Amino acid sequence: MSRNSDSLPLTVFILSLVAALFLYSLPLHNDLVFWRPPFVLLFALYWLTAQPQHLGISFVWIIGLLLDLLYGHVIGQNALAMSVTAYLLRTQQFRLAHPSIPFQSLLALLVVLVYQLIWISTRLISEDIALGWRVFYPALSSAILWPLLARALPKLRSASS
Amino acid sequence: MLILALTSLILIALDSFTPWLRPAHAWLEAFAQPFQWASTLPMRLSEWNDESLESRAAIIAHNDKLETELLVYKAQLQRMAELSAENLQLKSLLNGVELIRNSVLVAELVGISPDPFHHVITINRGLSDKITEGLAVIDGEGLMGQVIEVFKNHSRVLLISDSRHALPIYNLRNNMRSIIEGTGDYQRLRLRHISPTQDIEVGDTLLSSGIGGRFPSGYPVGTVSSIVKDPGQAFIEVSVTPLAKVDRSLHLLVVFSTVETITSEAMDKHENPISTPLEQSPDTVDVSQQ
Repeated sequence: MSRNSDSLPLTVFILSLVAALFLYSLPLHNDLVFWRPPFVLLFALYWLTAQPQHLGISFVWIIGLLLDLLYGHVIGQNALAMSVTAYLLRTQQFRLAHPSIPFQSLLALLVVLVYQLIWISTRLISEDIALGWRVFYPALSSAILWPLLARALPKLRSASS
Repeated sequence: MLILALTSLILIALDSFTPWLRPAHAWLEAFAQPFQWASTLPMRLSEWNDESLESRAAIIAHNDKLETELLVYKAQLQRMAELSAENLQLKSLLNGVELIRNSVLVAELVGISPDPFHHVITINRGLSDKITEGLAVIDGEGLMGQVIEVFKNHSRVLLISDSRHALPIYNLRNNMRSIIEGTGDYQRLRLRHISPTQDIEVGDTLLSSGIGGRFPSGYPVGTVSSIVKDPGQAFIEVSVTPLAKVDRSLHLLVVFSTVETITSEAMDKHENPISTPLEQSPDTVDVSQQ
């Protein structure tokens, strides 16, 4: 995660947002639906850590709101869960100056765990959902997929600039 | 941070317990369409594959099969004409004055909710096609779900396999009534509160009973796939496989039920349901029931 680019690479940024939204809605096999990582959260946190001089917690909040509105969730659920997660990550930012990829994976696991906890608890306010260990599957799959994303996104950025 | 968290909490409360934020949902629905459409891509690809990449011989064979099927259905429909006319006469003899007419509207699946906890799909019919909340949606095999949210050109359908969904049914074999619930699994529904002494067997077909007035009666819902009797429990566990291809159908039908009073005119109309003129739009088809 380099932090030395001057301006926000808009093309790559928008492309990766659209890609994250597509990945989020792409249908999976019935046994795999609970394993889908929260791609939009990973996307938002990547840009938040890569471009801290341009983007803040409110950016993550807006992305969360967009997600809620696009997919017909109760408005504010993702906005809350994603911004709180981003805030927690940001408070620990200085401890994680240049983490290695395996450490980033572990971090992704924890971050998605927190996100799922907040998201599911806000959903329980108004919805009836069947809970179980499957609630935490996305955390595992995010940790597994993170090394791929962490390598692909910087490459996209350098390719465009 | 605090302000953002508070704002989102207020938004959640507003959207959960009041209808004030509905317009925002309806307005943004249009922007979500490309992503929704993307979610049906694999199904579309496989359909395109079936349609375009088949050999001539396979298409001819398929066509033959369809023609035979059509012939069989037409023959059955001839019987149906006679039966429905007879049924109507008997009903009028019994002073039954109401007749339920079902017409269906062809709809296409345009989106699947990415949320693993909910089984919600989007279809390409909305307010402009007179879709209203609560209409039943079926596919060629059986009942699929009901419309829960209507937008201008789209509507959301809650599938029968969603864990929030339940509907009254009856057993075709012995008319035993019950309520069937979704489990959150596309291939499994379950019956609740069936006592061990009740007569139910693996293979029984369950039809919607129409009790409650939400669903039209007589549409197949599922077949009983397994029964687990645990002596320690007050009720037995009955699993049902839905007949509709809940997670695979691309083309669906929305069922409009209208209640009509039996008059001589309606009787005439029912003499020959095969040649009933099409109503509303070319893809609206009349299916007379009762």
